Amino acid sequence: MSFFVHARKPPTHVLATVRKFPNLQPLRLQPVPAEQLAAPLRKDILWRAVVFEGDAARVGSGNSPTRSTVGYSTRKLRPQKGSGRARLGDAGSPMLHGGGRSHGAQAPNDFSTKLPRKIYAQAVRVSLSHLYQNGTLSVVERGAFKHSPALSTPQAVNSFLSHHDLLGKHVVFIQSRPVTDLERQIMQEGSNGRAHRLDCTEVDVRTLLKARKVIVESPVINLLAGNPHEERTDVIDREVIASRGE
Amino acid sequence: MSLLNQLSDNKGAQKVRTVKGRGPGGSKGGTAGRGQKGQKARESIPNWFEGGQTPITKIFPKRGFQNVVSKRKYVPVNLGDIQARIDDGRLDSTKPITVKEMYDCGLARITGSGKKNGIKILSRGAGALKQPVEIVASSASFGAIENIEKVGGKFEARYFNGLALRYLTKPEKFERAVKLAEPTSRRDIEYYSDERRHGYIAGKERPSFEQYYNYKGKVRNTNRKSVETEFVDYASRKAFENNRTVSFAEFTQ
Repeated sequence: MSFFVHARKPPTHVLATVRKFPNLQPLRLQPVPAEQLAAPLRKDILWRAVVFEGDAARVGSGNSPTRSTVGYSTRKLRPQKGSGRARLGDAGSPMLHGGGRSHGAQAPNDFSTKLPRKIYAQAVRVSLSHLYQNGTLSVVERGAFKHSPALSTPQAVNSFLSHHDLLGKHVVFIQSRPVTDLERQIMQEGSNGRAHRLDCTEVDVRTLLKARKVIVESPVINLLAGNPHEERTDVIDREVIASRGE
Repeated sequence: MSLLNQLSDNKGAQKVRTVKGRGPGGSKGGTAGRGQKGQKARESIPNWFEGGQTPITKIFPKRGFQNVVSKRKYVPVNLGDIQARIDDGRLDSTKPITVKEMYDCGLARITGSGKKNGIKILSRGAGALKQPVEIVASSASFGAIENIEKVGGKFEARYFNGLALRYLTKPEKFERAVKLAEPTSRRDIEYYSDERRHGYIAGKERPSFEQYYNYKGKVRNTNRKSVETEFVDYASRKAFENNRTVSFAEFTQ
């Protein structure tokens, strides 16, 4: 970009605050690539990702009868020639009153649309940046959730949420390792189903944007947003999201 | 406040397709925008078809062509502009002013198509020249050369191809040094050999064909072992020197 030699270079990294869990007090600063936590807000990119996810989630029960399922006989209604009238096949023809529907919806329907992989990856980075700059996103230490007493029982979860004034609000805990059934159950009961504990493969853009509070372990940022300078690992699998509707 | 209900695509990003010929409910129902009756209403015909009349391309066929390839395309830089940059301190007049210097101070954007032959110096504003300048560029007008020399400066016309221009202006993009190409076309060789143009090979001995292509009379790319063949020196060959007129009498002997 030699035509802009005099323009100031934007910072390559932001200093993200890594917090203690469960009290969420600042612990240290960690440099994170600016693309991951300081990406400019692109509402159009977010809209495309949200619509993509919504389309993939649609199923619908539309199931209209076709000419083979209307149940009529396949007998030819009149001879091909000699009647003096138009050619005519069987009674299920979509052209006739009471006939089947051509190209009718067949449940389960597929309403999924396509979105370039890079656009979706950008949408994840934009939403993480938006959440971080809003103060919605809190980064905690690696493995902070693992043996934390605050997440060990439903009562502990409940008191954690009420202490941070998050009771009844949509809260998401994201970790890098898979979440066990027991961990899910505890989170479910402690928050009346409002808080969710997810691993990074389960996160999508709508989940991030809906949340009032997102608490992530520090490696999760890199897993979700990816290092734009390296080969992306694609933890968020678009194929999985696209097939979730089925 | 969630961002979810504030999202929308950019205005004009989505284009709605016009659905034609789907009944009177739509704006393009009946004739689907094709008018009434006739060939154009029923099928597609080429844009150039004139209904059977002799088409204009047949009446006036294309003849000849414009040789765009051999046309030299320069970026003009005027002496007055050079002086203005020197006054601003953006050009150093004590050092030679080359393609790189003029590119860096924003005098000439010489990359991109249509600008492949580099910079030509022109003499507009030459009266402002205060100090001697040494300029190296692809070309200069006679007036510009005269004005540069009037203040005691020097000009040299140097041949650059596209690669050389890119290398000189953005050397950081190249992993290793690029050897600057010499002119190969007769037109360029003659131009840069011209003393009036201050060409960089003017007055120097021009390489012969044999020297230029490193021709040593060797037979190459044969299946046999490479052999030295005799270089045929046509100039010194005395093939017809002993020829003379003969009479019929000599044949009858």
